[in-house]
Amino acid sequence: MSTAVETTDGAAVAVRAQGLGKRYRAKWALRECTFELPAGRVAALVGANGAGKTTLMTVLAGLLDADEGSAGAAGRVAFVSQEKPVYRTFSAADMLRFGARLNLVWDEARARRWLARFEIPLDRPCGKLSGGQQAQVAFALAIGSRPDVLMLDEPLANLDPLARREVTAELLSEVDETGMTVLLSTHVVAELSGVADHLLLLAHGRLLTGGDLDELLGRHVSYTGPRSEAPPALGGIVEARHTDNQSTFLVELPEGQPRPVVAGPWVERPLTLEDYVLAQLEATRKGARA
Amino acid sequence: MTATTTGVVPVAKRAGVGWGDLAWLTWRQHRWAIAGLVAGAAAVVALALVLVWRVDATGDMQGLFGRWRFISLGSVVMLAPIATGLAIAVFWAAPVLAREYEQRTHLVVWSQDITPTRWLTGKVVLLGVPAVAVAVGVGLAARALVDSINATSDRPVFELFAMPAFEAVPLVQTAYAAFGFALGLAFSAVTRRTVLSMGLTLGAFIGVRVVVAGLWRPNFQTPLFKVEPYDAYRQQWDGPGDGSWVVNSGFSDAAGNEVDYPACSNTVDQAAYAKCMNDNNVLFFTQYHPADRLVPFQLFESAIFLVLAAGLLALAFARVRRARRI
Repeated sequence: MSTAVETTDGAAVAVRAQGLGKRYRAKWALRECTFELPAGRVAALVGANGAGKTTLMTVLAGLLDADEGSAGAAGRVAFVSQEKPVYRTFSAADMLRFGARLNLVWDEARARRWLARFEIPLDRPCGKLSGGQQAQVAFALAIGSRPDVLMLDEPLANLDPLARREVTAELLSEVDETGMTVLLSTHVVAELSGVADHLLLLAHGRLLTGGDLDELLGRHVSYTGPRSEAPPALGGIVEARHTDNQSTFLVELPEGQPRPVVAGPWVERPLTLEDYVLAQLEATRKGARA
Repeated sequence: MTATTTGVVPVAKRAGVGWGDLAWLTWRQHRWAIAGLVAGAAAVVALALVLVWRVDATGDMQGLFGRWRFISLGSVVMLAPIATGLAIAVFWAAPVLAREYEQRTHLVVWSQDITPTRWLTGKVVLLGVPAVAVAVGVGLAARALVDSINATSDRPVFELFAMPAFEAVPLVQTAYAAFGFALGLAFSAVTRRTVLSMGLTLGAFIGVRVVVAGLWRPNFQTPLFKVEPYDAYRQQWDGPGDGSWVVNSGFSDAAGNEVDYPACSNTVDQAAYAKCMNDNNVLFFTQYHPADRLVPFQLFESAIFLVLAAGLLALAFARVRRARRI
């Protein structure tokens, strides 16, 4: 686990990346990635398949060396990779023993509570558990180690819809109790509403945007109105869609100015996280084609 | 969620992950491989000691255990010095890293409060030291059997320069075990596939052993050279019997230059053959290493394998410490 306690402007930073780059042979999987994640946040790392989410996470977790730039996490990091690996011959109880022996801090009660919550048998070899149950063992191990920063790569990928909701809820209650910082990656944006309060958006190995979710969404607005070439308010057009008689604009409002009021045929709609992310990703795809 | 608080079992905090923890992990992961090899080696050592006792008591090695010939039991024991290093390489070392990569559990263990380097150091020490101990035990037992059997006869039954007697000493066994362990670990780190790593380790171990023993060992030092007439040479037909090692021999002239086989094959008896050889000025040359080179040769061979082991170990550590892919 890497430890690099850093603070800027008095605010504690849990994870920091500075000009981070990583390439596999000639192809850059990650480039010029710079951000700071404040402590205590639940951050979502979002991007299309192959955007570099896993690469970024493993570099941040100290499991992979960057080719340029630097990365650091404050305190102890726990990382659960996409495959939710566990030792197949170990029982869940063995995995907890493993956690107790290989960590400086170990919260047995918390790990056992997680396993009990999801009804995981303690005495069966993990290789005989289902994929979803193995994932719960991996989560219990990570929770039990009481990390300062918890990194989860596609945490909900092989869980059923009910388990997804339960895991999300449990995770948030752990965050409330322990004050840890969580960074989780996903390409299913719908799962994130109400979970994440910070967003890191990755496309083609580059960080498109990052920051406080409410602030990001507040800076953007969606207008729907009669077909038109320009939106009813000033700002950067993130996305424009037109039908025969209707136009929809997603506009990034200029900073430091009051929110414009539009009237007439135009309807202003608050932006959902999903709208925002999809529009951003769509824009990069069009940009890549051009 | 029930109202359980986390105060029931206190949160455990400590300063570091200790050797006891790594020992627990190593045993828990590799217990079958460890138990299998240790049991096999213990059986071989026990068999060797029984044979030593039997040979020492009877001074006879022909009729061991009734119709069991020495060769059937003894050869099992004498296979051990050849096989131990190989078994350690293939069954202990080759899966260590490869299985972790294959099942992605390296991401689990290295995400705990332990660095990859410290973890690997733990594995190397906790598996490598027992591996060397097993090899030393096998070496000592096989050596005792060689000495015992050689003592029953004027001429050595096991030529000390030849396999398996050359290998059956603790130092050489240590070097093979260390080399095998490092080789398996290096393939494990490079290929990241268990079966592939085991196969390559098997092939490479045998390959290196054959090349060093077959091609290099005869040339560790320049062999001594002697030229003799046919009669003197014939008396030591199956080797000089003084513990020296003949690496090359053939027909030569008095100056030692190799010559073609003379046309003496149609002679009627040994005397006529000898006379024909003498008439043609054909002598016999021998290139050999005297008996007192045995220990220096064993030291040199051990050094070769220990240097290779150090290089391979460094490669494995470099791979693990500087991960270029996950």
